[in-house]
Amino acid sequence: MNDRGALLAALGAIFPPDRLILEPEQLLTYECDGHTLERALPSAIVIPTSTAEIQETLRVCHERAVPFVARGTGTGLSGGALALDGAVVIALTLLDRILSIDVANRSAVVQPGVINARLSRAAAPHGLCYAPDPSSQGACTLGGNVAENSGGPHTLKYGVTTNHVLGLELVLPDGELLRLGSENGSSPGYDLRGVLIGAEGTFGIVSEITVRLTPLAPAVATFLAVYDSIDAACETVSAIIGGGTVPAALELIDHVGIVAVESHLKVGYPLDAQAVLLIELEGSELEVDAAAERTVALCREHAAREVRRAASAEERAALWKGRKQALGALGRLAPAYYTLDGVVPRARVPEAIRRIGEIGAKHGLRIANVCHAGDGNMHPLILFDPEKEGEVDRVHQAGEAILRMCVELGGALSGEHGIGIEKRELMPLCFSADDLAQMMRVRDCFDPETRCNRGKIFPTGAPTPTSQLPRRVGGWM
Amino acid sequence: MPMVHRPTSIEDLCAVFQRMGSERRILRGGGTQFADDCERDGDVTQVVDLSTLDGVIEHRAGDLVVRARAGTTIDVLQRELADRGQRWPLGVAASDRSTLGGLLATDARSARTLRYGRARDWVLGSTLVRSDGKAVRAGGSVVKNVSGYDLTKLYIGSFGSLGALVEVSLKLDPLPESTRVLRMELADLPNSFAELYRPRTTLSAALERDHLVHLLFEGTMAAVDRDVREVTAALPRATLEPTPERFDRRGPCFGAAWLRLRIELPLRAESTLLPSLRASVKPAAFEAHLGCGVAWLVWPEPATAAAREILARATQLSASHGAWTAVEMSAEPLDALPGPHPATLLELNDRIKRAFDPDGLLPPGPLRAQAPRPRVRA
Repeated sequence: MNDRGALLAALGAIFPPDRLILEPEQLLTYECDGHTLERALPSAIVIPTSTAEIQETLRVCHERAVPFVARGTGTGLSGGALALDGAVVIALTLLDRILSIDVANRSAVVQPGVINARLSRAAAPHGLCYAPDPSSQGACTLGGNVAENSGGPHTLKYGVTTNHVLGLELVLPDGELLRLGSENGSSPGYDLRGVLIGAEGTFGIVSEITVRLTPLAPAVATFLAVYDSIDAACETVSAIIGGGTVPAALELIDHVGIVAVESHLKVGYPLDAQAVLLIELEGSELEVDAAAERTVALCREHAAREVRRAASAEERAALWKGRKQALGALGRLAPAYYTLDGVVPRARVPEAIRRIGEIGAKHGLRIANVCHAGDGNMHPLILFDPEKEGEVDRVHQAGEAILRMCVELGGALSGEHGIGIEKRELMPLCFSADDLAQMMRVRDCFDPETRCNRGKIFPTGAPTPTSQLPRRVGGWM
Repeated sequence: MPMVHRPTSIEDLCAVFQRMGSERRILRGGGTQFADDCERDGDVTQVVDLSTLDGVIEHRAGDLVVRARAGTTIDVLQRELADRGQRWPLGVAASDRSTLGGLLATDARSARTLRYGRARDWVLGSTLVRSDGKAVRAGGSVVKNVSGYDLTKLYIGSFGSLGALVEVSLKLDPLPESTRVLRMELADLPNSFAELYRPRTTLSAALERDHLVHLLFEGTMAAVDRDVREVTAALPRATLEPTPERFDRRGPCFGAAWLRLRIELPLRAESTLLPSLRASVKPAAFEAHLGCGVAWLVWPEPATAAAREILARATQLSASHGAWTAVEMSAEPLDALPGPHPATLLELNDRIKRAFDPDGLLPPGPLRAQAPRPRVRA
């Protein structure tokens, strides 16, 4: 039996045929995630239904020196779930139970395959929610959120995944099981949970997560501010944050985005506007009223031509629908699009938007901006047609130019999507060789043989795999 | 007497570390927790005082972000931020001397955790100088960032075992318009703090100490007034403190003690475990950050029982409530984080330590450290 044959036989001893995927046409489903510019075929997919099965799988991989990668629902946008070097994909989607909701402790224990929005729905009857809300929250898993330290619109006020995870159960690459953190979020010893969150699944496989639940706000006010100038919209963002109000969410959609959303979703964004801001305030009624007054005044001072407050839950939902489904709507404007995730200091958002426009013009590409303006997390969407000669190359060039610009303005390569395979070669823009070597030494503590999600985050100098042209693609942010 | 080094710049610190070669060394900040009134690693002769590497580098008020050298004291930082209506929302008692680096290295706790979370939630990036004199950076100065590993999380609570924290970027919050403190006897509280606590109000902190409870309210004038009115209607014996700005000075106080234990507990256990600890372990002083899952049992002077017996009692009681215990100071030799710890966790902690400080020139990691000892008084 060859190596692959022996590996598959060992996996076959753990998994019944319906949870061990080997057929090439089925493996194709797993050749990429939401980042479709790069693809790689896994050697096998296993679908465990228990922590013990994860452990057994990792022991088999350990004995045979086989790389592996964990995968949730594949919504990631940096190629983090790509199976390089013939890695085995461990799909965690059947580990989807909410194990407990502890109201007195304001916490929940979940398996990694639980869909983000499902946890908030389950917690709502207790007056609680899970605060990080990526736009893909209806589809993405909490295990994936831990890997990418995911954010979302409301992380402006509430923080990202790492601020809401108290403890974890981790299966190390040799199959050993370990608990990190604790029920009150303190860690005996080093905060290993803290360094693991956002490590993009390179330390092992998280098999259980204890999260903090957040009390629902007694009062919410949602505004749509409409602008004839994108600069004025951006300046409003800085004025609100610098002026002492931290909204729950502060989102910007530019003209291209508005047109896409309005043509397909009809949520009431004015078609002729150059930009809209979606502003949400949360807190006690008194606080929200005071913040609302200040915020509306600032919008008007900065030349908003209209500031509309959602008068009902339905109106609020409609305003948010436009934002959360903006990518889907933009997908109709072109055969494909590529979503970036750079961050700039929030006061530099106006400059960043201007320069994104210039980069688009230079490379002959249409770029829409749908961004978490309140925390400087830019999501430029480059619209393109993969069938057009040379267009994919220009998309890559424009994408790199935008990320270089973000770093130049004092920002970062990724706010919430991760480095993955997509941005690994750009890491030296942010970090010195010593910085990166230190990070790799920490990785080696968990995974000395680099078998866990190999080929991600750190530059390799090797070209990334682009086996096929992207087909029609989707995504979230 | 140990040799004390006071580096004048990060480059100077790197050079100092390189010159020390294989000599073991300890780091100190403002000396509020260790250096002044306790002993650690008695045979170490080299002390590096990091309080000289101080000052705010850049306060970007429009971004609610500040970059500062880690030797900056909390008071100096907060004064500079307050000039532009902002603050780092977690306070400590000895803020005139406590440095940012020291606060983070010891993960000093603030009662404002009730509303604002922990120090780890308000740090965006850092520069650390390793024992071999190399500086490494992680994170950045923007509020959202998943570019590379968040190494800074490892430094918070590392007690200087991984390197010298020299620069940090912090997330900030606007200064509240109004601050009020209500004071009451512990006996006047309902059965448990959980019964009183209403999330999403302006209540930022609830500090229990020596049979007194102080509630801190922060927010807009109208909201604070309303919340204070509501609490005083329910608890008529609560009185307004005349100097609410002194709230942070109330503790926790980290002076020398014969024994000081910290209990880390799940929120759900507060209403049952805290009274049991007070009643059956009988500390000379007791302090808790209510609603934050942390409490301290303190014996300033020797108790009649042996320290390890007291520790055993506290640990046993805590464990039955899903809590665990740390020894912050002890005259008797005790482990700082008494086990048993799973072998895999110990091994992983050791590996992390070696990944930064392979020759063990800095103090041992938290799971391997002995609790600091109070200095023998003359």
